Amino acid sequence: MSRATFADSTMETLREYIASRNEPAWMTTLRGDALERSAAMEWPTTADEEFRRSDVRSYDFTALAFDVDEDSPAPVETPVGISGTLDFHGTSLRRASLTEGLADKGVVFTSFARAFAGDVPETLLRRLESVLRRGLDSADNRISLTHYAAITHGAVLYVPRFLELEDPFVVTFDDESGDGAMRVPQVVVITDEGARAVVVERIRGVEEGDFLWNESVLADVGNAGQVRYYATQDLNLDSSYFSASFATVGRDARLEMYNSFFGAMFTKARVDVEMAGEGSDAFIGGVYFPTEDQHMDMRTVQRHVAPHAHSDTLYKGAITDEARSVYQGLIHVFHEAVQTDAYLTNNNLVLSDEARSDSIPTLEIHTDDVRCSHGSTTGRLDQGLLNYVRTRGFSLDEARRMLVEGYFEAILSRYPETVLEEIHEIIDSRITGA
Amino acid sequence: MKIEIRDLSARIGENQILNGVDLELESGKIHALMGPNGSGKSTLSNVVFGHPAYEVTGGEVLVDGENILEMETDERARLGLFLAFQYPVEIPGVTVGRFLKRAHEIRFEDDTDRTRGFVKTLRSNMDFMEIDQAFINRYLNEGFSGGEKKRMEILQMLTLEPDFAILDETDSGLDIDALKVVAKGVNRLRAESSFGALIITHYQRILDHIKPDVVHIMYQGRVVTSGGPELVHQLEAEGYDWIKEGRHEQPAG
Ligand SMILES: Nc1ncnc2c1ncn2[C@@H]1O[C@H](COP(=O)(O)OP(=O)(O)OP(=O)(O)O)[C@@H](O)[C@H]1O
Ligand SMILES: [Mg+2]
Repeated sequence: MSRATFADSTMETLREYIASRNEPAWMTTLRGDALERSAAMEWPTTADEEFRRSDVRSYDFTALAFDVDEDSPAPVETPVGISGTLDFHGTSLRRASLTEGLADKGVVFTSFARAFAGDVPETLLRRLESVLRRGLDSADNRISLTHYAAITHGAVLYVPRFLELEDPFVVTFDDESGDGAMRVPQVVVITDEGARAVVVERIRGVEEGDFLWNESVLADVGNAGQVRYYATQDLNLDSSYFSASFATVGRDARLEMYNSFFGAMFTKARVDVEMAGEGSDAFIGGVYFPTEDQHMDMRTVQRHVAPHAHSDTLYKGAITDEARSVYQGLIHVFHEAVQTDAYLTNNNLVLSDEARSDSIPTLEIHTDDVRCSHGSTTGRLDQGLLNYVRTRGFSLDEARRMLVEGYFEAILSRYPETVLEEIHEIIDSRITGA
Repeated sequence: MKIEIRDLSARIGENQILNGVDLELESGKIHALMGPNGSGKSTLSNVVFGHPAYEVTGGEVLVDGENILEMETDERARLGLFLAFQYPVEIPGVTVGRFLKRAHEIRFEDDTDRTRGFVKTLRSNMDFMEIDQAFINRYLNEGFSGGEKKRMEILQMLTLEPDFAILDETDSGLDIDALKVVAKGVNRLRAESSFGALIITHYQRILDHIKPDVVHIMYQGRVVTSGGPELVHQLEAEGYDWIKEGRHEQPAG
């Protein structure tokens, strides 16, 4: 098993890294283009609107060591009620499973390395290229451009026409201890016309070590298809998490994209959903719960390009201790997108005196004949509710837990059972500590 | 259970609301508490339960001889006290089933046979209270009608089986059928255990269904007089003028 290690992430090192990859020519070109574009930019500063409240100047993005490890997947049984699993340990795929019969039907669920090693049909590689290109095109800061140059590992899911799979595909990123290293995972989900898929992504990180994550999730939901994507980030509190995801939703298709953020000392996450096809529909859900002195900055963009589309964003956070959250939401309606129906809601529940939360919803509308609205609320736990619950015998901790879980329920009630138990555990531990 | 409220005073902000309440309550008995709007009935209930908005400025509340004023609200509840709120709040995202399951576990934590039978208990109590089973999966009080919220309070009471309950205007806003159902709930506990209650009300009609043993009248933050059920008829006939004018203080003649 060979593992290549790179001591830093300067331009030269990344160039060397790209050359060392045994990938199709188009991927090499794509990485090179990303590198060129990033070289032409400065690292973000608080002068950039998107980073105004999240200062990244203390990071030296060129000093991050990284490695790529060979896949060595042990075949495992697919758990009941699951379509397939991909378990990464560091950058290496260690376990993989796919429910019997799915491969014969044309489903592809594999690691990036294996996809490039000839594991997938040529037509899918071309789809992959165009999806990655679109992701790269949407990247507009040096950190997310660097992602496309430096991708270290990741997962690809493809579901062919009219295949409807309700059992989730589960991608897990686990890790070992490490210091100052960078992880650059990429997840791509492609569904053909009328296909349906549910994806669960878990970023669990390690007990110790300060990794910097620079992730991207790309989804291309084919016409009349349906994708539900549930990502949970629970890294340790020494790590940093950057991500920029981009999804396109085809004609009459539906995407539900959920993110829950719990871990990492610093989180800067962005989700762009492009309503690309007429009649497309999207729900963008977010749950965040920073504690101690965590900093979480999230941005969602609903890009309405096609007419008659509907999108709805609901981000709910609880902020405690000395934590800080920033949420920026944009509904962007293009000139052609007549009869757009778009909503954006952000709620913040501030659980301590030192916690702080900012909410900045924005509309940018370039056509008439739309229905758009946004709203945001920031408040404390209602004393009247707390008192009511306590008259039923609940201790202060238990009452808070019950109410905070209830608060998140509007989003979590849409989650599959497989993820919920873990999430409830995380939330519980945070309230008990709070 | 014996609850002795002695010379209890409380305020909210600068507003002195309770001015030395004396009241003795006992399980096994039904007490009625009446009094004009704003006389402090809900405040008394809230103070007994330790609502943080109110500051106790004097007096004590003894439960079986022990002063509870230093206890947390939930500790008081765990003594076997229950409050049916005048204005029950909506709890977003928490279903009736989940909420009551946990409350039931807390109440009967030492009795695993009982906690294991929770679902059965809840379902039969819902039938008894004529509440549709579908409510188990609804968020507590969210979007419930006024009457449904009141019924839900009594469902909680039946399920948690307190030794003593304060029912703060549970009868207000109920249609006659709902009123009967609520009364049925109270009377059941009364028949099954040494349950007692303080029924706060403005109307005689609930007391026709739940016969009180004692009637107390509150005015300006004080219990000014107590007596038998005949007090209710007097109020119904005369209103509160005789109280306001202090005539109740004269010896009956
Ligand atoms: N949270 C509060 N803030 C300010 N004043 C309050 C508050 N709660 C109660 N009060 C005042 O205390 C007094 C007593 O109110 P309380 O609700 O106890 O009366 P009540 O006897 O229950 O009346 P009703 O029959 O209308 O329910 C009123 O004058 C009321 O305005
Ligand atoms: Mg009242």
